[in-house]
Amino acid sequence: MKRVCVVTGAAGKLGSSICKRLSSDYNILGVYHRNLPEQFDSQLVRSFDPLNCVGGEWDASTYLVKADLRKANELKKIVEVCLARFGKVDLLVNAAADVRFHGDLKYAWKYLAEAQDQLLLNTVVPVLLASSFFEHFWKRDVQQNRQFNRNIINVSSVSGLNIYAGLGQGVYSASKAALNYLTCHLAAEYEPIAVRANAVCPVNFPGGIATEVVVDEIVRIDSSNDSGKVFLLNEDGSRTTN
Amino acid sequence: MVSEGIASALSGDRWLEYQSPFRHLRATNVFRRQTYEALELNFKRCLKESGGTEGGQNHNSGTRYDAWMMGITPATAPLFYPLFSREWHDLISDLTGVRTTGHIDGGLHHHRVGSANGWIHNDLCIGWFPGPCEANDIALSDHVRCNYSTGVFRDPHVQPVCVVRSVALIFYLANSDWAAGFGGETCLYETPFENIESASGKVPPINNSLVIFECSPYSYHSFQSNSRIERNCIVLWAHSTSETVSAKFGNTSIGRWS
Repeated sequence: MKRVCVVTGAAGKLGSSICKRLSSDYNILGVYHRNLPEQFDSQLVRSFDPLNCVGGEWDASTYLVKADLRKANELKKIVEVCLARFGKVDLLVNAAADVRFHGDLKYAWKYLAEAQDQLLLNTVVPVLLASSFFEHFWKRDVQQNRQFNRNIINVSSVSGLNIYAGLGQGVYSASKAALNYLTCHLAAEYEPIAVRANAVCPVNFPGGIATEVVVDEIVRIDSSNDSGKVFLLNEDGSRTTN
Repeated sequence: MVSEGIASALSGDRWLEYQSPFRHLRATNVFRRQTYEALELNFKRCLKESGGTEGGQNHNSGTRYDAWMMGITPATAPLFYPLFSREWHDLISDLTGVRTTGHIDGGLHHHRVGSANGWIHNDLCIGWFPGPCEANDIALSDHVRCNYSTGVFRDPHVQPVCVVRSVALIFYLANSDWAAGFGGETCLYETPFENIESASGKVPPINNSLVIFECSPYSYHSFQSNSRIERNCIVLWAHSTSETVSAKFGNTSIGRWS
């Protein structure tokens, strides 16, 4: 039976690469918000050869759902669609992120709403989504969770590990630092139900490292037994930071 | 079975089928270089010879579509092979799953820089032709012999046939390099009530690319104003009988020209 993976931020560089890479081995539920991803076949877009086109339905392994993850009812929709379509979830990759740098913190009063939105999407939503899957699925059968090596991978950032002063990335950096800590708490609190949680903190991609390197690391973490780890991923490879 | 002529004209690249906001097909790098260059050359020649590039206002048949337009006739159709051929007609009929009659209305469209936004519409409307279509052939609209919008004719030998637009195709060519923000896209909508600039889908006018969709009560689309570069395309509509369309969508869905 294929593993089932939920990927948020499926329209982004990383999210779409994850969907593309995993689609042969996993059933995927990709969550996007604004732009429809067209880099891989789904129920919304598929590629075909116009000279050898067989009409009718097709069965894409990647299923896309449009949702604004900052809204509670849309989070619930993701869980419902995933369970209705695939009956389970084995891997949750939280790749959706607001990567804006809002500027100098002295002027935070000017971007309060945007800062709150960023903290919600980058930090709180990954925890809420995991919590929703716990409530509706993972809490039912610990043995199955262990058998299918179920886990959560939060895509964080090197900005959550280091301070890069003068770039106006204070809120973004804090959102990722908080995500790293929450990942460790998730790991501790989900350990009794045998669901693992880890975070990966890449340097900028595809500039510093290739997007594929980040995908490789996600695949590695998924197949490992690691939990409660925050991995720094840079030109030198991956290493644990805690 | 696709003819050898079509197969050798196409680049071989895969096309994309979208389900949102309504089912449509998109393709880039549609034709091989030689075929595309011939299409572009003939488009530019027609545009120049008929004054489409001269100064002044766009020429258009109505007030809502701000473009210069030139209809395709039996004399000009061969210049734009394979678009106005029976093989191409059959290909788009197969790909869309629409039973079509062989009647084709088509034209060259040129939008000067700064052309106004279009309006949100679905293209599902009647069209008049001077006669039936022979088997394995196409019948092009002929606005002189039989007015496409009204069916009015002067030639007593004309036996007007009324059919319904059922497949729309837009092929983009002879454009400068396009970038986001330049406008000129074909915008696709979920409903007719949306802000014209807030489309659910946008097809950019990139050379040698196309969009195809079945004309339905829900195929809402419009032209978006081109602020930076001219926008050129060839449009083509295949047609079905009104019985075919009515059976599928109900006869109250079919529009008439006002």
